[in-house]
Amino acid sequence: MPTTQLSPDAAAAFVYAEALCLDEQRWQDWLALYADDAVYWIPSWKDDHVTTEDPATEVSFMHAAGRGRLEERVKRASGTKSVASMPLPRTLHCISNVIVSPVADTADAAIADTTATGTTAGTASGPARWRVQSNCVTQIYDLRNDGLKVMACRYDHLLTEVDGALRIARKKIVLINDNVPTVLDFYCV
Amino acid sequence: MTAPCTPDSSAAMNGTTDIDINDLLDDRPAEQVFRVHRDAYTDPHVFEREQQDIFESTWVFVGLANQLPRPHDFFTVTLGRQPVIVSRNGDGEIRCLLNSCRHRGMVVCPQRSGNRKTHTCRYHGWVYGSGGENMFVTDQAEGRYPAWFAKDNHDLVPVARFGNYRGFLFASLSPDVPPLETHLGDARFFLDLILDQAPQGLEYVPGDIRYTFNANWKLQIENSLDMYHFASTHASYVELLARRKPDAFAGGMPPSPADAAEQGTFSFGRGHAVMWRGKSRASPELLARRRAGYVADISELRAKWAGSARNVTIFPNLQIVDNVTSVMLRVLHPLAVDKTEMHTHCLAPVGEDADLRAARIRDYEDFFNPSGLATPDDNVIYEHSQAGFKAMAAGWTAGHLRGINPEGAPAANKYAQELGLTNADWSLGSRALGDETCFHDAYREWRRLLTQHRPG
Ligand code: FES
Ligand SMILES: [Fe+2]
Repeated sequence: MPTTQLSPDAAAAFVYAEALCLDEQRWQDWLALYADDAVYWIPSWKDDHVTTEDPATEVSFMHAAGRGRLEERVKRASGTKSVASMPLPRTLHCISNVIVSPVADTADAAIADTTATGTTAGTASGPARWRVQSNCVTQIYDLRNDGLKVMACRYDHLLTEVDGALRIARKKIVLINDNVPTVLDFYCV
Repeated sequence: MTAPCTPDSSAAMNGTTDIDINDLLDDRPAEQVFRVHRDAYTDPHVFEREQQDIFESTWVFVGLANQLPRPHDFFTVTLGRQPVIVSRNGDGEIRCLLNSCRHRGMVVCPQRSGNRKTHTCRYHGWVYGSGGENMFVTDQAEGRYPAWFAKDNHDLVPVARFGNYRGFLFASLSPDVPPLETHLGDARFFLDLILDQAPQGLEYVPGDIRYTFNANWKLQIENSLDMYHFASTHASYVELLARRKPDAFAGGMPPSPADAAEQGTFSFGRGHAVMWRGKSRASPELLARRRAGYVADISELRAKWAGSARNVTIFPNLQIVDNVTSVMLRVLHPLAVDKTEMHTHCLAPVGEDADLRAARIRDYEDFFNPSGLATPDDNVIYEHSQAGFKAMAAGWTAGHLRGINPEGAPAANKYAQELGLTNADWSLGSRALGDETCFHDAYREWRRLLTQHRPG
């Protein structure tokens, strides 16, 4: 049985480290934080205060099932074939309001379910998992026009242990200001 | 052929608001010249004229009838600059009303969508029914209004024309338009091909996607009909598709130029046009599954065409991209001469099988939206184009000429003949053809609308 404790400090440090990878454009380090079968999901909104809930029947901004889909985006961002990525903006991710809670039922990968309860992480049959919620405001400095845009997001991470290291099993990003100026990619949120 | 225009050739550049639209479009078919002046994309006065004389004067797309399944359902949109509410009344009739209180003009319904039997203006409390009828004027009984007021009409004002083409809703703020079917003309054939894939109608998959780009709306009109840009603008998308394992429904790569010989364009007058491709990325399995879902009485010819791919533009604000693997519907909403808002939807047949629906949504998200793997490149290209248009000193562009030379072009179009599209302009050829002549209709309609009520 792996570690069953994830302190609030350690959870916050993990989310900060992910943000720093994005801001420093260390894409491979960023990808390495994700489990092979990680799900990366940015739902869209279907009402003033309700996001889409089911990627199989509703439209998402992004629904990447598996790290391979994120690798594709990194390739676009770091190559020379996507004009949307040239030049890349400078970004600054500011994270706050970190709350960590253990996830008792490992079968419950739906971290949209806000009712996860339990005091110890993991079960007899699976690795430990933790839900880490936070807020992220990303400042995006567009070098094409010297403009500064802001993306306001709620992060919802499901973290797990893979070979003794903390990894992202699922990340849901709720984009508060969803009328997107020009481009929305993984480095913007 | 006249000499290339010098940079000072435009009346619009002399700083007055007295624009001569004819100076912005150099259209001389006999001399094989078609040029659009940079001012058409950059002059705020041109934009004002476009709002008044195009978006507030001709048929514009507002939404789908099945966004309003129940009595009293409504949604709100903006026609040009004018807010409207589209609402189904208690009798089931859909009405399109100016969203402005008859008392002092306030927006009566601030929500994007919902269900309400009545709409109460929050300022002084006048009440309107879901069909726009005035039901209550606060304190009218107190007798503070003149006698004639009680006899006058205080309902929300309906738009001048409202039409429903097989569930596609269009409105015009001017009564001076032909019937909707006449306006759509032969472009209806290509709308029908999409509708014929959906015996129970088409619906928006839930999830609102809105985005903006800092560029003129006409760049979007052109680009959706522009086969020329695909290989260069979307190189990264093509590259990553090549690395993916084909799945059951989408067969990996877009057709190669050699593989895609059957393709071309049609223009229908009034600005509508289509760019069609005989082949798509759809796998044989997907084509068979889709075919099984078409309307029962579809002819073999129409079924063949339904299974091909197409980009349809209904001037001025509706574009549908049917890639077979998914269908995208977008609504253009110009905000300024250099800013455009887009509303895009994943369009799907009502009652589609769950596995097909899920694959459709992934395919749609993959390409489209500001978060897709292709549309962001288009958006950034528009912004670079808008920035480049400021180089007024460089004079006219050569962006609307490709394909204008009839030499080497086929003399007849067997596809036009088999479809009976005898009045449509057309071009035909491989993907590399990338004709820009299919943009011309939009500019001719643009000029017609901008000049029909005023000289020049
Ligand atoms: S403005 Fe609507 S009631 Fe006065
Ligand atoms: Fe494109």
